[in-house]
Amino acid sequence: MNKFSHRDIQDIHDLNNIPIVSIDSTGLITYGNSSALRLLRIEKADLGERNLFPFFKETHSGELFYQSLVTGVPAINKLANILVDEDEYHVAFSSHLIEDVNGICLIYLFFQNIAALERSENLFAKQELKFERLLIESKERQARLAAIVNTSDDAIVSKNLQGMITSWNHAAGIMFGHTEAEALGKHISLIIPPERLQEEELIINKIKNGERIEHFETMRLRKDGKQIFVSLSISPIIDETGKIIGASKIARDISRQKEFEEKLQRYTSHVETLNTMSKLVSESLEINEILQRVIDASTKIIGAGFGIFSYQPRDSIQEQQVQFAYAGRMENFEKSLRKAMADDSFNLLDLESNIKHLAKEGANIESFLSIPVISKSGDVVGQLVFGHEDENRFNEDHEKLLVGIATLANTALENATLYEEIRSLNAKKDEFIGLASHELKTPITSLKGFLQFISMRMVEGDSNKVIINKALQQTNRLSSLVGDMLDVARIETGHLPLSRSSFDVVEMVKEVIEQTQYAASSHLIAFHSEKPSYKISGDRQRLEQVVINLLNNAIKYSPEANLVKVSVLEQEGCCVLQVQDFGMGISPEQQGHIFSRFYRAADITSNISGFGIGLYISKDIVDQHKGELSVQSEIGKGAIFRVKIPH
Amino acid sequence: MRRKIFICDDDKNIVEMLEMVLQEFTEATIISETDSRNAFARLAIETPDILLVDISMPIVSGDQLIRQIRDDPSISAMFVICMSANLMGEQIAINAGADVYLAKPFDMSQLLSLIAGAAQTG
Repeated sequence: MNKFSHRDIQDIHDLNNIPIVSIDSTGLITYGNSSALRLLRIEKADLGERNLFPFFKETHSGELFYQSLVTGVPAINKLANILVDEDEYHVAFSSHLIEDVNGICLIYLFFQNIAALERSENLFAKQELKFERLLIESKERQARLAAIVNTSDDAIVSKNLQGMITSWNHAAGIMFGHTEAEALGKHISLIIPPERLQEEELIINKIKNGERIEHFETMRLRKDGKQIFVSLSISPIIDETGKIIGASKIARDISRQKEFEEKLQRYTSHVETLNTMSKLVSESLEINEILQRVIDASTKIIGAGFGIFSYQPRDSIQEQQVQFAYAGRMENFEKSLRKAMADDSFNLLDLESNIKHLAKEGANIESFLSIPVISKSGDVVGQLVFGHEDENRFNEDHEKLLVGIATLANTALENATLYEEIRSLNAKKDEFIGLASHELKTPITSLKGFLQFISMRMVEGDSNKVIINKALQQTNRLSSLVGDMLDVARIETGHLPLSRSSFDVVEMVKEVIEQTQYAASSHLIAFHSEKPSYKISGDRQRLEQVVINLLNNAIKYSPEANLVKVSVLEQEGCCVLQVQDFGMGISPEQQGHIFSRFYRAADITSNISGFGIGLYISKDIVDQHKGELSVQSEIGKGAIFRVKIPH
Repeated sequence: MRRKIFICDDDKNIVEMLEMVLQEFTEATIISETDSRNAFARLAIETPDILLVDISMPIVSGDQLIRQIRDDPSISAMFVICMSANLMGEQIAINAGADVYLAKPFDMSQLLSLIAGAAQTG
């Protein structure tokens, strides 16, 4: 017996979302909550009028009903199809017979539209299937990835954001020496050398920012303590929500690559060294300087404690002693070396054994390197010797480099030797010229004297006098040629002295023209000067020489013409003297050469004699006056020589 | 009174030539010496008016001789014409105390006018 009335029960069921109806023993629907009314499409007013049985599609459902009605056994989740108007619903119903407080029995039925349920069940099943499939795929992928990771030659390691190792592949085990078991759960600093620990913080920070690190070259630590060169690529591990939860690291052993790089670097630096050395020695033509530069540079480059470069060229004209240069910081050794050399017991030609001897005597040399310097003819002409207090300081690379340097040095030294020979020969030649011309002056003096004697004794009509005078002219020419040779030699040795005085250039030029005109009847020498007199400071005699030279050239090189123009003017605060001829002219090419020593124009007929040193000397004289001697000319249009001298 | 000119040069040809020219074209008595070692002693004896001397001579050079002369009051007033083929000749000659310098090879007329000029100044 129930405490409640059906009324009360129904009030409660009104609150329920599940369709609930109550029927009497005939199947008449006595009550239905709003969900039920909606489901069955019954108006509240119709309650009590409608029967539930027709709603059931199959009679067998009705029987189920009936059974429960009669037996009073509750039905639980029985499946049935109900038909509402045209629509069919698949439902599960439960029924329960309730006798209320008043003794009235009603059967309450609870319906559940299981289409939705089924749908969701299907969905659920589908989802489950999908998940299963995804799971399988995921597992397959994992397996593939795992296979890749495990067969990779590169170490693949993952860690969380705290730096704890969360995965460790086979290659990592080989590379770092720790097994998976040993590595998992440990901090990544396990493989980081102590001096590089700060790298980890940098890496983690970048990872936290979602940044990748690519090809970061660094060193890592093996279990056995050895450090290896690695290249790291690190990427963040992101979970399904997009959160960074760790880092995945690939480490590649780059020791071999590093080795190659280092070899290349050494090779390049060797080439650069030889290049620099080459420049260094080519700048010098002095043997001592070359020796010193080479030994200074090479001692430094190979890091030797000391270096000695000894040199004695074989087939040189001069008898040369052995020369040598020393570089280094081993002061005590240097002292003993110099002492031994002073004692004369030291043979510079046999440096190697001598130094080894010194080494035994406590000069403290543990490393030693000796390279011969070989001339082009194959003779040993020198030695490069290096030493160091420590053992094993020199290796094959050093040797190779030094052989290259020795070859360079030899070339430079051979050049320097040749140069010195030439210089010495040149000096000797100049000395000879100076001496010879000095000696020549004496007989010329006598010759001139005798001829003048004869001439002065003759009377003015005497035909012989003319001839004697011609002879005298020639001695004068001889004298001036000798004087020119002497001047050349003096210029070369830098000893052409100037004695300055103040004199009138116009007057000097006029005198020279007068003298020259007297001897040269073929040309008219026309003179023009802006000023009647023009005082300048200079060596009158030397400048006279210049004017004579230019006038003689003008006449000599214009045999077809009959005029030479000379002018003196002031320009830009300088005294300018111009000598113009109307002869064959000088090509631009030749203009570059005419002021050099012993230059003779190539296309001149051999009629024109002379050493050709006149312009060379003239230029030197003008230069010494801080002036300029220049030429302006075109082929066939004569030439204008211009002397410009500052006051 | 005839003047005396003393020629001192180690080169015999120069001496011969100068003797010839001076004898022909001056009124003076000409004395010559080729060995400079004897020169000073002879100069002291002969006391010439004019000395014509070359710088480059063996053992006793021209400039040395000039200095010796200038140091000896009995002959220091002598007019000295110094000649040379040497580039630095002029400087050496003047420093030694020569009155005039002649660069070899020189003109005879130049020499003769120098001698004439010396005569005038005594």
